[in-house]
This record gives sequence, structure tokens and C-alpha cells, in this order.
Amino acid sequence: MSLIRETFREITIYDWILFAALTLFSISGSFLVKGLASTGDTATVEVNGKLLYRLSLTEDRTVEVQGPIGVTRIEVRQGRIRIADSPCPNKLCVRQGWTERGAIICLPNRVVVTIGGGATGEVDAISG
Amino acid sequence: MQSQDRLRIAILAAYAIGLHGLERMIPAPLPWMRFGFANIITLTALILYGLRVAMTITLIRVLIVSLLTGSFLGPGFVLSLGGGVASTLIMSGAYSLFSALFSPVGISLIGSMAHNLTQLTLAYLLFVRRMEAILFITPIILLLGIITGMINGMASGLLLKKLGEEGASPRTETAMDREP
Repeated sequence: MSLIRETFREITIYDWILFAALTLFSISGSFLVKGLASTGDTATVEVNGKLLYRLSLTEDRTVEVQGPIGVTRIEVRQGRIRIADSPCPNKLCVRQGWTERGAIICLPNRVVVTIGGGATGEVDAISG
Repeated sequence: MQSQDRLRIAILAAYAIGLHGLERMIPAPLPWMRFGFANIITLTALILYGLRVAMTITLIRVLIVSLLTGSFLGPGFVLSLGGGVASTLIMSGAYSLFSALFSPVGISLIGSMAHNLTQLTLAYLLFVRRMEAILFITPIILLLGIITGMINGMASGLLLKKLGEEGASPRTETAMDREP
């Protein structure tokens, strides 16, 4: 297809520079934030900005929390945590699977699971 | 607004909604990924007919899709609206300032960045309120946005070429070009 080739040729040098700069920026950013991902042997469970549980990752456990659209089930097994079941439509949080650093967020049901430190009392208000 | 513009807006908005619907049927290879195919239409409309037509198309698309999927006024709707409006505005600014430098691919990349950064900011302000969680997903979302931005930009470039070949009327100086 000559049109496709022509379209490709019309990409300017500035397009490529922008592409390279943005790629570099986000790749270096991903290394930067990796260091930010908190670890620890506790995890906090918040719904709608309210701290509901502070779980120890050394102790296997299953908790269920009620969010705006239903019940989210959170499991702790062998030092890791996951959202096992969620009423949200896209199930991104469930697909994230077992995690031992950082956080799991389920936006539709307003559930935030944070590993390590997490909520230290200064939970902001949630609007909207 | 001339009746010709209304016709263009209606047809292009229908295409944008169709592409948006098509995209929802394709399972995303990565959980956070959205292709943003509708942006092909927004960008093409922006280049051919200007900001007002492109913005109207974006607003119609976000509204109709949210009504069809039942997410009207929900978190997804707020994020779609914010991302769509911001990227259309920024792309329009970038096109009028830098159209000598960038092809549609560059404008699309800028739009993709605007879309994602706006959505991340909105998600932080309205829903999540955990800076480290937002920061954690930012690079991967931006990276995916660069890839889809490239693809959509090339698709838009191809579409513009095809339309040009078939002699579709290019952007002409009409009343709608001058913003009130």
C-alpha cells in the first residue's frame, strides 16, 4: 500500500524526537517509581477513603468489605495479598493478582489496598 | 453554525461512537490499556474543520457512549469527559502553534499525553487521593498512550490522505473557524 508508506514517510523528524523524548521520559519514570513502591508486612484496606483494616501479611486471612457497588473480597496468603473477587465491571483489580508491593486500587468500588505504611491517619476526604 | 457543519458533526460523531464501541469489544491486552480509536476522528475533524467541530464531536461521543453503557455521571464518565475535552483543546493548541513541525502523529502523541495526564489528575483529585498509587501507574499508562497515540496518529494521517485523494473539501474559511 503506497498510501501507508507515504503516510509513514510524512512523520516528521520532530514527531520522532517527541516520540523518543516521551518514551525515554516514561521509561525512566517507571524505574523512578519502582523505588517508591512501598513494601512491608502489613497492608491497609480502605473504602471510600476510610481505613477499615490493617492486615498482617504474615497471617493468612480473607476479609470482605462493602463498597458503593458491592462486596470486595481480599485475600492474604503467604506474605502476599490480592483482591479475589470484586463487583466492578472490568475487574482490573482482580486481574492484578497477587501483590507484595505497592497498591491495588479498585476505582469503581472505591477500594484501595496499600502495602506497607499506607494510611497513617491523614486520610483525605473523598469527594464526588 | 451552518447546516454543512451540522452534517459533518453528525457523521463524524457517529463514526467516533462506532469506533468507541468497536474498541470496547476488543479485549485489552493489558488491563489499563485503552486504544482511544475515537481520537482518530477527533484529530481528523480538528485538522479538517477546526476546534469547534472536533469539540462538539468529542462531547457528543462521551455523552452518547455514557448513556449507552449506563455510566453517565459515574467515575468513568467524569474521566472520559475530562480526558476528551483536555486532549481536544491541547491538540487544537498544538496544531495551531506547531503544525509546521508535527504531522498528525506528533499532534496525536501530544493529545494522548494530555488525555492520560488529565485522567490521572482527575482520578487523584476525585477518587483515589493516594499520590504514590497514582505515581506508580503513571509511567505505564503514559507508555501505552505513546504506542496508541502513534497508531492513532498514523491512522489519522492515512485518513486525511485518503480524504484528500477523494477530494473531500478541506478546511475552508467559514464563520465557524473564528472562535467567538
